[in-house]
Amino acid sequence: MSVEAERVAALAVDDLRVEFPGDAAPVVAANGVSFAVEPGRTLGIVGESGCGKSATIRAACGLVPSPGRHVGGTVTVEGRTCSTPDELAELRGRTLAMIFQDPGSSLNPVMTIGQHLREVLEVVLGHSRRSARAEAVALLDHVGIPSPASRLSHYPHELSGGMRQRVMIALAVAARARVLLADEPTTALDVTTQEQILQLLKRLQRETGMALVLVTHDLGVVEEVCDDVIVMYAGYVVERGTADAVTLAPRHPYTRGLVAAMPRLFGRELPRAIPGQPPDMDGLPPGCPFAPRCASALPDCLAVDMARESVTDCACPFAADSTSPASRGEMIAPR
Amino acid sequence: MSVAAPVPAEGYRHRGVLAWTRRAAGTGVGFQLGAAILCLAIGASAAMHVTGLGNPYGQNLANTLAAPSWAHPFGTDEVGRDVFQRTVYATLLDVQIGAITAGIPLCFGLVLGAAAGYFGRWFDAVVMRLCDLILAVPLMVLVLAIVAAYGPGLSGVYVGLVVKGVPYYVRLTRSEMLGLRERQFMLAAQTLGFRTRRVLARHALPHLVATCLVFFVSDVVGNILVLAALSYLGLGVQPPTPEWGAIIAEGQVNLLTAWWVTTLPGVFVVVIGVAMSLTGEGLAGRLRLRGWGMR
Amino acid sequence: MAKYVLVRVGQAVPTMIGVAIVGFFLVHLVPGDPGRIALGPRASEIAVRAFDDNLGVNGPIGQQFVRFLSGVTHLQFGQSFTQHESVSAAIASRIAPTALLIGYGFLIAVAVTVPVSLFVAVRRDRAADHAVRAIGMVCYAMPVFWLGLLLSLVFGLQLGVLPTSGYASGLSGALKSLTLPAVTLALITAPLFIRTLRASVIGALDAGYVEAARSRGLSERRVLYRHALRNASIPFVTLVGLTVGALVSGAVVIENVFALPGLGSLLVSAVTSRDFALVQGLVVLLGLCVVVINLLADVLCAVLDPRIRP
Repeated sequence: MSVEAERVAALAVDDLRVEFPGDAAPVVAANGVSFAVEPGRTLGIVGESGCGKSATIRAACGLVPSPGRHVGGTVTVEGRTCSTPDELAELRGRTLAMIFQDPGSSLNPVMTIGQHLREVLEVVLGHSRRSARAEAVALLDHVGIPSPASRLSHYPHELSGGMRQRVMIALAVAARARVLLADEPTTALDVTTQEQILQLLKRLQRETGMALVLVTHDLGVVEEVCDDVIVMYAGYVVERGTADAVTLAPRHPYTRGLVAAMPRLFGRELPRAIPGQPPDMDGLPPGCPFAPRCASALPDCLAVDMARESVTDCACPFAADSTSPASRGEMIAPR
Repeated sequence: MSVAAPVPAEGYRHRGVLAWTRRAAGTGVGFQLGAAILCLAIGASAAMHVTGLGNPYGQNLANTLAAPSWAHPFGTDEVGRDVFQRTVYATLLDVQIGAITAGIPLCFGLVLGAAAGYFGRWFDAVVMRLCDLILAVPLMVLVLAIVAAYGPGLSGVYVGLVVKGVPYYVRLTRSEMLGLRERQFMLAAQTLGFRTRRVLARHALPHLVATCLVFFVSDVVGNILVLAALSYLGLGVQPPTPEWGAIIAEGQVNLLTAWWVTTLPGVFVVVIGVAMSLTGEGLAGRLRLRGWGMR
Repeated sequence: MAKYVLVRVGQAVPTMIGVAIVGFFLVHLVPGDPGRIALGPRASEIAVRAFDDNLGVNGPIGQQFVRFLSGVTHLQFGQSFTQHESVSAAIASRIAPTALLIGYGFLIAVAVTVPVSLFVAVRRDRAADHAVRAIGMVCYAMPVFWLGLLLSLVFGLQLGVLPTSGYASGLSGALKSLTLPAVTLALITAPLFIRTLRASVIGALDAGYVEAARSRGLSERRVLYRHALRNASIPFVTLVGLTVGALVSGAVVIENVFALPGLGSLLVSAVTSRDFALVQGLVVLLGLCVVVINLLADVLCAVLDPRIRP
């Protein structure tokens, strides 16, 4: 196998555009988002609520919630390019899989765990009744659920949050998907369970070589589990790079703000919030959307061509290329 | 590629009729239309009652069962009376009875339900039990039984409709009050005891009244239909008083030959009913908009 | 599960006693002497006294109530003076057409409700949804008897395809006579059913587990039926239990429109002729039926939804 073939991205998103109907004009939740993930690697998508990370990841598997619409760009999964949700629908299950934020509402309350598993195994994978049951037990065991055979007849409300998320993961990997999309899978869980779930995901990734895309608002999670990361703001990708580079030496002012806002166990600096409010997506100013909140904003920021800058490593053409730790403690004064 | 100009998403393709309707509904066109129809019909009926305009009782045996025409838009019935005039004349009676038999339960139910929600415990339990009992018997069966006790005529109708209506308002008000209690009493707990009642009157009561009013309108429609059914069966309004159900019943025997006597008054009833529903929905929208809803 | 059923039955018993109380109380609403009112001013004292005895309104009220309750438990309500037989016999002989009418009408209503609700739930707020809602508003405003007459005019008299009155014997004859009445009943109740099922299906479609099911590669069809509809049918069953009363009410009027020999027309003739014993029996019986059906609906909900059973 050639080196090029090995480097074929498991998931490649190119110029993705997702819109929601707005009052005057459509609100662009994801604006020209592009990224790629290779097999066996983990990509983190980071940003505040409403920055478009959820819309992006849902569009990547064709599940943009109505009234939103996937209006532009393509999603290429293992070389197969799709530009509509219907095309992506065909890949769901076997190639693409997704786990959601709230495991409690992601499981049908009137179906047992066993029924959930059997449904995927029999309908998507074509197992027989008997082999499905055996496989279901194996799957539950594999994700670390104790006494799996007895769990098959339990209902979701009889399980704890952590267990439910494990069941979700089991369902998602049942079909041995090549790409697993995770929309804030640990946000609804307590800290110790969070840790366990993240470790489970990494273990599964090591075993199957699948690509993992993790949406989160928590930079700590990015630091711990992700190989690469993209940072989103107001629907644009504003910075991209390896997790280490972005969290240790952030270049875009927004990323620096995020990093500075993280509480640290060591060091003397207190976390600093980013001043201002998240942008009103209904009326974005021209140019860089972060300009209104950016301490280093210049008049030229209003003329920034976001479509071109967003595909580079850092969407701020004026960002200092600094790697000094002092940059983390920079004062970000309100404008 | 520069920052793209807004691309019309597919949802904007339907810029025509559907978007217009949606905008129109938001501005309350339904409410205005419904209210206009109601005012017109009730006004015309009231005019007939007060000024003696028109001729709803006049028989003309030379012109029985005539087909609809300009002179008689709904035709004439078996004894030559103008069906349209009779139908319009009946509007005031039907709407009046509908409104009164919905209004009295509203008042009773509001007080009972609010008290049940407020005081709770055994009072609440007793009131709820009574409501359950009345609601356990099917509506028409209950009303018919009460009419049986009082005999055909309006007294049985009034008692029957009022009795069957009270539980709905009680339950509605009670559940609203229970919800309010969570919020209002939290504040009231910090103030002096007697202020609680004032807080209730100032904040709870308007909200409860608003909720009941929304239900009231559809209740009026329902009551009119029950009254019409009773009159159709010969147990409500007695002849020769024009009433919608009675008029329809009178035409039944000639259904095949003179279908208009039965059919057209029914259309009139449906139009009035729809007008009321539109008004009710518009009212609900407006009350919510004004922030009377606590949600 | 068994425990839930027992608890639910236990809750229903006081309601059933309550229905009996309502039936008992109704006769005492009569302004005056029931026997005199029913038989008229020219009837003899003896006849009036016999009538009142039959009705059980003589004697102290406590005793009356006890006698009445024991009568209810044996389904005995005295004699019907218009039907010249016991109340229970009169009711028993006429229960079949009513039960068939309600069952038939209900089936038609459900057969219409499920596809229409699914259709509009998937097309929320589009033209079809608004159209169905508008039709529902119109149907709500229609008098039941008028709709029945309209249908019998079009399908019975003008087109001649279905009978407009009477009740033929035999199952196929009965179904044929009941078709127009059942359709009328269905048209009156379907709009409420559709509004509820539509809301439940939309609620289910918006739920997280539907999106999760889609993400696992399950087809849209399977998601709609196996997940959304299945979950949405639970509140629907509850609603059905609550609307049985409305179905019975509609049936009462419809039986008179189409001259069907069922409990509805029996009730109306009993009311007209002031046959209080018969009215009493019908009120109690119909009320008890509604309570029992509500109970069955709740049990069915518990079967469908594991969260309800403790």
